[in-house]
Amino acid sequence: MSHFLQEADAVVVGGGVIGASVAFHLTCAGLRPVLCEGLDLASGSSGACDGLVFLQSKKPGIHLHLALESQRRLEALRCVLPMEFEYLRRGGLVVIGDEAEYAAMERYVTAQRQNGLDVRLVDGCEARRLEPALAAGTHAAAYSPLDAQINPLRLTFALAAGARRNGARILTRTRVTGFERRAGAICAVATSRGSIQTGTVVLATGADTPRLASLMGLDLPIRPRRGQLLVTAPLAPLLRHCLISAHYIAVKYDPALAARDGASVSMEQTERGNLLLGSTREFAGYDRHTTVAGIQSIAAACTRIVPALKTVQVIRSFAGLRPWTPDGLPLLGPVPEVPGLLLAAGHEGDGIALSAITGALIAEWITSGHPHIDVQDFSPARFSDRASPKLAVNGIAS
Amino acid sequence: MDTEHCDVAICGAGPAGLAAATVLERAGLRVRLLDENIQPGGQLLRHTAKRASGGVDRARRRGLRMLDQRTAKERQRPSPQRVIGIFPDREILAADAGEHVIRLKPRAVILATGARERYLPFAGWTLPGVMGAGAAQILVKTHGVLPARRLVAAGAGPLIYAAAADTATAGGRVAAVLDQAGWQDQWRLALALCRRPAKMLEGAAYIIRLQLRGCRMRCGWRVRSAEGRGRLEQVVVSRSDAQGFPTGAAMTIAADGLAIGWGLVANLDLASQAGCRLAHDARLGGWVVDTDQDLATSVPGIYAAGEVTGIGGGAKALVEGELAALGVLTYLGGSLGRQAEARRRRLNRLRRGELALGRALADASRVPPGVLSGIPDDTVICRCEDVTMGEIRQAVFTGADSLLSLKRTLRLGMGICQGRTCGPIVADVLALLTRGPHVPEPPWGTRAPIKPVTLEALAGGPET
Repeated sequence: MSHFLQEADAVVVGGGVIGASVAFHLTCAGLRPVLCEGLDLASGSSGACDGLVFLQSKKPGIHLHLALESQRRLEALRCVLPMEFEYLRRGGLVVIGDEAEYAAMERYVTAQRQNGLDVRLVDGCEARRLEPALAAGTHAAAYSPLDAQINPLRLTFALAAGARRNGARILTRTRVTGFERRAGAICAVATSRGSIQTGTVVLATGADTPRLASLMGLDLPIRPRRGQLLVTAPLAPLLRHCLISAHYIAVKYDPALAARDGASVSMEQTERGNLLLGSTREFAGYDRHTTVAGIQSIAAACTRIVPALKTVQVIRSFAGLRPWTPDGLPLLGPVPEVPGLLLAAGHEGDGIALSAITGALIAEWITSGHPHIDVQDFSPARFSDRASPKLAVNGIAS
Repeated sequence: MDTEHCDVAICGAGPAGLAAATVLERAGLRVRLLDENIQPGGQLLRHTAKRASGGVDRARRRGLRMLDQRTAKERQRPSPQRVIGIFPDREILAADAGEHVIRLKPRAVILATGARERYLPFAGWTLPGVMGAGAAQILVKTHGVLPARRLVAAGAGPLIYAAAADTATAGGRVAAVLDQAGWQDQWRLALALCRRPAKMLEGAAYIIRLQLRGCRMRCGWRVRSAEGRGRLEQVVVSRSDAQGFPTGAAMTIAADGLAIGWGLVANLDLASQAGCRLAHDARLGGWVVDTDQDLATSVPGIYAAGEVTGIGGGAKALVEGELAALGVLTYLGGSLGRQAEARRRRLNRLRRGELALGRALADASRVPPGVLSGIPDDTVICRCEDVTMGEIRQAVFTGADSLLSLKRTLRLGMGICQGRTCGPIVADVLALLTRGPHVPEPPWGTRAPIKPVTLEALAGGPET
């Protein structure tokens, strides 16, 4: 199709929440990007995940700093984007199961407070006062009034609609098939509907990023990690907060706690009234099936934490592939080996929460060459000099 | 959660499932026949309290005989077992009426999940009193309840005559039967039925029964809207052309029940969940499970039989149930004797004839585009999530051009029924609105649990 042949200031690959955010922020900086999505908007992990914008689960340090900044930006986006995305700052509770988890959470919460997060530990009684649906024997909890939730599908559509309104072209069912390079640098993107001339490409393709990066000879340490979730029938208000179990944080950051029994779960009640109950974290390749074991473990853990859920009807289950990285941090910014290529991928379960800041940072990189926050920790270059990133994968696989 | 091993799990105890179970049990295999209904038999053998003999229909007579042989055995396991989901490696979750969930690990699976009604929306279709023709039949046959004091049956195809005749026989008044199909379609169907005197007789019996009770029967007529305060009071109808567009002036018929039938669509929930390849055949009800000669699906160890491989009726289901059972026997390592091989060849021949009949019946209940074009914007299409026709039109015009993008944009099919009701409607509406050279898009997959189940049951029952 010769009439398709065109130029673009930048090509964003991937129509999930990250790609849509990058495209939107590029248009805010005055550029006219093209977004290419192989299927439909939000057809990958952004359409198969929970909607938590949970600050307490972020690693103290730059990770938490980014999440705080991202949340502020999400709140501002509510007035800017042409669509509403069900943002609700309900506050969040990290439900602590026993003394060992409490000790770990104490250290963790102290570090988070030093980083400026409004969070405190509460005992079982206080936790139940805040969230009456919790089980009678609840040990303790960490509470932050800042934790929020969002409808990830609506957020993706809203960002894409905002980008389109500002002059971006959103091409769905347009598969990227290759990249043309001149003297090493990117000069065009080949798609199933023709080629697009551009000097700048952003890969925002989540768990699919390694496949596309390999077309340019890159070996990225991003691996798909499956998360299964359950959806209940719509209910009258039952949960006042977003909930996660302390085990969820433990699994992410503390291998010793992760080895212990217990499931890491998250729970939220959507605006429509359905509960979203998640989520497993499994390495199962690119298999998006739900499993008996996965469904059973979520159901068992959730009914233990909130016993009133026992009689609630589950109406659906689904699974998405989170882009996992060895150090739990995303890969953001330019790739030294391929001039013109930037990555915005590898957020694992933090993509929704970090979507706004990711888009803003990538746009700053493209327009000014350096973002306003020092994000060395997220640089894709951190994996470039590792002998074999694959070894790291095998070491942590669950 | 208890785990049970067996040789073959058969999902669906209608004619196809029963026929398969009979063959496999005779071969000495451990079979689990799963069905969500209180009684086995499916829609074909759904019987009245007084238990009809099956009449002239040979398939029904054979099915009832199989059912008689089973009931003694099945009484030991009285509670229905509804399948919640099928997972990788053929793992099946099923729940009984007491919400006790078991995990089944069969060596092979036969999907005989049958079909459901195709619904078409019109103004007022959500009023109490408006129901599917199949639902009207269930009320009469299983529960002994009249669907209405004064019924109108409308749509297209043989199902509406059957529902009307059953109601009339049970003592209800049928004001009118309105068939969208014109006389030409009726003749074509009659011609196709020439080789099936039993079917022809069945149809004739319906018509005579209705005629004797003073029911008006019209061809080339359709329902335009259903009206009433809080419940159905009258049906607005008019003549329509071959494309389904209304032609004459509207007239009203007083009625408190409206049974609508537009043919059937295959129940593909389990097949798509299991990852079976689907195929599209407009003359067999649209999307069906793709199978080979032995009725093996694209997933090793999973077979399909009955309406899921194409809408064709009870006789086809009986043939396919047996055929699938023979396929499973081969799959599980048995070599069939010469007799069984001959039987298989004969069954394959019979199957071809039944498929031809299915196609002829499908032509008679075909949905012309005009039927879908006049739906008012405020008509609810997705009844679980309250999505209206207007919202769908707007979403399509602003770029949602696929079934999946419509689902994500509007929450269509994200409710309790997972799109079983609105899915086929939305596919037709989308095809109409986007026109263009259209390759039909597969239906939304249904995720486990196929029908709602409590968290406690999924967790493995009460903690001990």
